Amino acid sequence: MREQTTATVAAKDKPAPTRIASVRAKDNGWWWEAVDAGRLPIQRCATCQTLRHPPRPMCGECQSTEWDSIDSAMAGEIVSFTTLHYPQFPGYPSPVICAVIRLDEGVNFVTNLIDCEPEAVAIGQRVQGEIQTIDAKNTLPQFRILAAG
Amino acid sequence: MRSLSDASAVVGIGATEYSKDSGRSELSLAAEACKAALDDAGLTPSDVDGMVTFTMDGNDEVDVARALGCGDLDFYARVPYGGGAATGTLMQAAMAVATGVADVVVGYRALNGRSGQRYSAGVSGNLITGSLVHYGWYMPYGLLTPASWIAMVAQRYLHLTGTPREALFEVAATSRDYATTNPQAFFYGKPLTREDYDAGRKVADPLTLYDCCQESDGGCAFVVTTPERARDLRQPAVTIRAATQCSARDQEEMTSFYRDEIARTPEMERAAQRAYAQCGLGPDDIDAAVLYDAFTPTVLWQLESWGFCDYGQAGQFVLDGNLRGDGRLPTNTHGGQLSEAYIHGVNGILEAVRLVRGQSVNQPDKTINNVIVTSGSGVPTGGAILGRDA
Ligand SMILES: [Zn+2]
Repeated sequence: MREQTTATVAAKDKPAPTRIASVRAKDNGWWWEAVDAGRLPIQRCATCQTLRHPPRPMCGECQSTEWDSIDSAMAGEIVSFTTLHYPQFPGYPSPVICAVIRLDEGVNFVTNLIDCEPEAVAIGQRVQGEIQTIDAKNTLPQFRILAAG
Repeated sequence: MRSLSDASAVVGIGATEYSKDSGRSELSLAAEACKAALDDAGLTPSDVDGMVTFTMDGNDEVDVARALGCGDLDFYARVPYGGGAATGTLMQAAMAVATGVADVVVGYRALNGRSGQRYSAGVSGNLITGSLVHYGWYMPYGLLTPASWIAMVAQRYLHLTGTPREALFEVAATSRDYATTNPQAFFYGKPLTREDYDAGRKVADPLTLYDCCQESDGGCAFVVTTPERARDLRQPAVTIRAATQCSARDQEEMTSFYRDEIARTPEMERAAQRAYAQCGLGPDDIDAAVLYDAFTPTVLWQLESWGFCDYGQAGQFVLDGNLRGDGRLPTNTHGGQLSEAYIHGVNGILEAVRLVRGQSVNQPDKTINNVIVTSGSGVPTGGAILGRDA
């Protein structure tokens, strides 16, 4: 009991470690603000309608600098994944599963897979995402595997 | 003449000891490696008029030049993208010499990669390279280390090709067997059993401990000059037949996760095609290779990119013993970065030179006319072909 009390006091003195958040700069800040608001936007060229992610200031297809965005339905398929064991970083679960998802809108997106065992993950599985508040510095899209069939 | 092929030669190589704690500055390692390379060539610091290194190197060209006692420099350059720079330094040196911009160029890389900044510590806090915005797409999810980025590609490659884990073990074991006879290697005298390999701790699935290269302290350097001058120097000249730097469409540094197929390395395929085209050689002309081995799967991808087998067939190629001393393509005969040391691929350039000279501690029992040496995978990369002076 005494040890537990000490740990609690120590935790109050020092804020809990968080994941490392992205910086927010001119080309990506709007994207993170949309995630904070509960959406996963995909940048779209306003001239030729090509989707692009991660955001960048010019369309690689037509060189237009005009753009808007659509909100992803956060449904997709696992392109690849890796379960990270070592090293363990403060603020992150361990192990943590990372994945490249092909969103149904047609762009790839890097995220976490949650609420599953690493052994249950396979390339090609359907996934559904949602926006989650992770810690004091991070609100992130997180994805779950959908039951087969 | 509008060609880089055979327009320059490597005439000297040098290295410090490789260790886990050098106990001295990176500048000390760089200066000693450069001096050793000049000694090997029979040149002096006053002969040097050009320098090239990695953007990640902590030693300014002028500081190395001043430590060495060089005179005037007419050329200095840095190549970006981590280990993707390795043979890019060779290409920059070759271009400088071929164009007459410089006459004697020293390339170097020196790092306290174990006792100082460790790349396995990830991009957290103290960013190694690249922009914060770029890594901001990966850091919040936990993709912080080179192993994590390569693992994402490796998982899909193994899935698509059915490559067995035995093939990764064979890459690790081959490099280790070469290291057992190389006194410079960290794993000198220490072979890797299948039991050791299987007991290696999980790092980033599917990569386990012995799929990952070491972290090392040390310095390496090489000297490039004209073919004419090369013939008057101490060592047999090693001609730069080809040298390339390549990035491919939708390239990111380590995280090219947005292509239609992420389990390929089109930048290395292009680097290989361009290198072969530069010198008019093909895979059949290559006698040995030094393939950048930060992680075991990347060796497989490079065998495919350089045309030694088709996509998905490299696992069988290595399982057939082709990387061994008596195989089709003796590879990483110094032990590679898996088993000799991790000097960001420049220790590999040195081994490629030794192979052409006939000086490797594991020199294959055949004539070596042409050797491939490559830069890192997953980044903008490159490759070179070194050959015997005609
Ligand atoms: Zn457009």
